[in-house]
Amino acid sequence: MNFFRQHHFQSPEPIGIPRCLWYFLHPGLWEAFFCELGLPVVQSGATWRETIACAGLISEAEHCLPVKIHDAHLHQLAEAGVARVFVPRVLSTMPRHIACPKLGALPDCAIAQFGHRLSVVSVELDEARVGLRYSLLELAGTLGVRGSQARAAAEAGLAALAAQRRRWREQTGAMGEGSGRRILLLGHPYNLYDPYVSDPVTGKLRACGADFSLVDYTRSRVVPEPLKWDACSLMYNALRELQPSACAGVIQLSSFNCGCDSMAMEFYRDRLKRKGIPYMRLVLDEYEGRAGLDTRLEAFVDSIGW
Amino acid sequence: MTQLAYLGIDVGSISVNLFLLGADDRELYQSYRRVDGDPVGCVQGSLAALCEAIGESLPPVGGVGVTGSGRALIGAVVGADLIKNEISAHARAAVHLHPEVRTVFEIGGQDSKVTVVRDGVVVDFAMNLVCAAGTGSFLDSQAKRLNLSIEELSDKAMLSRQPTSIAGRCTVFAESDMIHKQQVGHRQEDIVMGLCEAMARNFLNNVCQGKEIEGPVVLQGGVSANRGMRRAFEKILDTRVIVPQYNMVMGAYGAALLAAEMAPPTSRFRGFESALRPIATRGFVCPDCANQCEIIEISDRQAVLGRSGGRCRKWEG
Repeated sequence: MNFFRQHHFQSPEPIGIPRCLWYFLHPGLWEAFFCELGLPVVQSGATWRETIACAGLISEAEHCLPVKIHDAHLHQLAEAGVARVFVPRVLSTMPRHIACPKLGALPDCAIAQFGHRLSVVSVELDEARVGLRYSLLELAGTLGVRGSQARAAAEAGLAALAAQRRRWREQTGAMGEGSGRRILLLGHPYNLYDPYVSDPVTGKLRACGADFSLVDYTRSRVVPEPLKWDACSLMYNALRELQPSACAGVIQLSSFNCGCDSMAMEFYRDRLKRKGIPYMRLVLDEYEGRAGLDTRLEAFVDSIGW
Repeated sequence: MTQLAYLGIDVGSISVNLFLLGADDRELYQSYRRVDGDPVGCVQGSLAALCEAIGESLPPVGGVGVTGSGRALIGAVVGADLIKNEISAHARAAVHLHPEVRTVFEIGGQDSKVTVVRDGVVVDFAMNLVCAAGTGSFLDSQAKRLNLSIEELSDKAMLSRQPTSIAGRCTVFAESDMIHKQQVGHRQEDIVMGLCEAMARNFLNNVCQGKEIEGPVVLQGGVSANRGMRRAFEKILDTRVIVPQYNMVMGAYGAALLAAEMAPPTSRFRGFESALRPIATRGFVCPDCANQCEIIEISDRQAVLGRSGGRCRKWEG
């Protein structure tokens, strides 16, 4: 049985994009791509307090925070009257690596939970084997668009992605740029770049007067490292380049229950220990309690002698 | 010139502790008082008790340091010169009393922490996450189960010669395992010591995971009053474990030391009289954005003392 219904271009029904999770991996891409295909795009609003409250109510308790938030965004789109949503099946984001295997089932989970209200448009993104451009053409084909219009949509999407990534890079400031030592924040893009999720950490660091950079996902490239998970491998690679003279410490933002992170953290810890750079892992969940987080951040900033 | 005293206040989840530090590091006063759900009332009660105990001979206060999870609110109520996180405050106190310390274990009612110190400087630390299995509340609940006070539990643990092995991964499992061990006839002192060892292992596995634990270790916080815990850590780690002089109030002692070090030219301390005035708190929803954060405002009859809450932190202070 094919759950993924075919959509035809004749009736341009709006397509909903949840502004969370994989959205932060490919910022700007999907809006531009669907727009070029002639499909109106409806985005869910940015994550805020109600999103988290909703996630707690509707999502399975065992999920990690980003999946809970994703459920809440889909719920919001359904409530807004959107009839179909886009949920990519991300299997890999770079050569020789895999994405979190749990998140590979995201479109299936979306159907299981929202199938009665939403139809789910999906495409398999497996950049270890298939280039992103090719996957975009395939997605256009699923939506009944082929040939030059599909190619133009793919180009528009990729150009928008590159532009948005450039903007992020300018905003956050890379490690080693500017003066003085900084703290490097590690984390999956959906935690780090979702302002509501990362704000308890970034806001506190700002309040403590500490300079920081976010780990850079815009320079993805193959790294011959022992970690098979793409984001973890990129983070590990970022640590390899760190110099104690430029980096005062590393803080990792991790979702409660994240299997990839719990296995990768030993690699980070070991590498940073050899470099003599302090490292701290913070676990994020949907509970508002900030006292523990504040204490850890203050003590960390104290201990690196800011 | 009049000698100044420095006041440290540690506002924890279970207790409020005070330490009044006189000239030459002299202890003028210390207290440990259960919070029982009312941190402001508890701090005021502690301050009133301090005034009563010292009375006329109370030297002028040169500075106030506040630490613990309730530090922001209480800092505003008393007028603190310094608001410090509890990890730094505890480490400061441990290093002051035992400069050779390399690891600090601080185990309180709900929080437990390990701080790695090298050459008197904090280089690494960790706090327990959601699980309370490595904290005082674990021992509290098991002591209740055995119908023992914490003091009796401490005495009993020291009598044990053959500690019972207890599965202490989680309080629920520990309890069922403990009942089983009672039923098959283990002696109570051995069970009690087994509980201490289970809790020490819990703490080492959960909180200290991946940290370089080296002796000498300083053990402080409420749980350090239990001599069985020190014995358990010494056995498992095979290193010297020191329970310092002010083991129950080390956070407050550290805050007082930090305030003394800072030696503010004029203290922001509002004075005992003002600090004891009734405090009103009021909650309102910040209208400035969609997040609708709840802001807590505290005031006494005369002025707004401080606000807290809100994700953007613009109401802080």
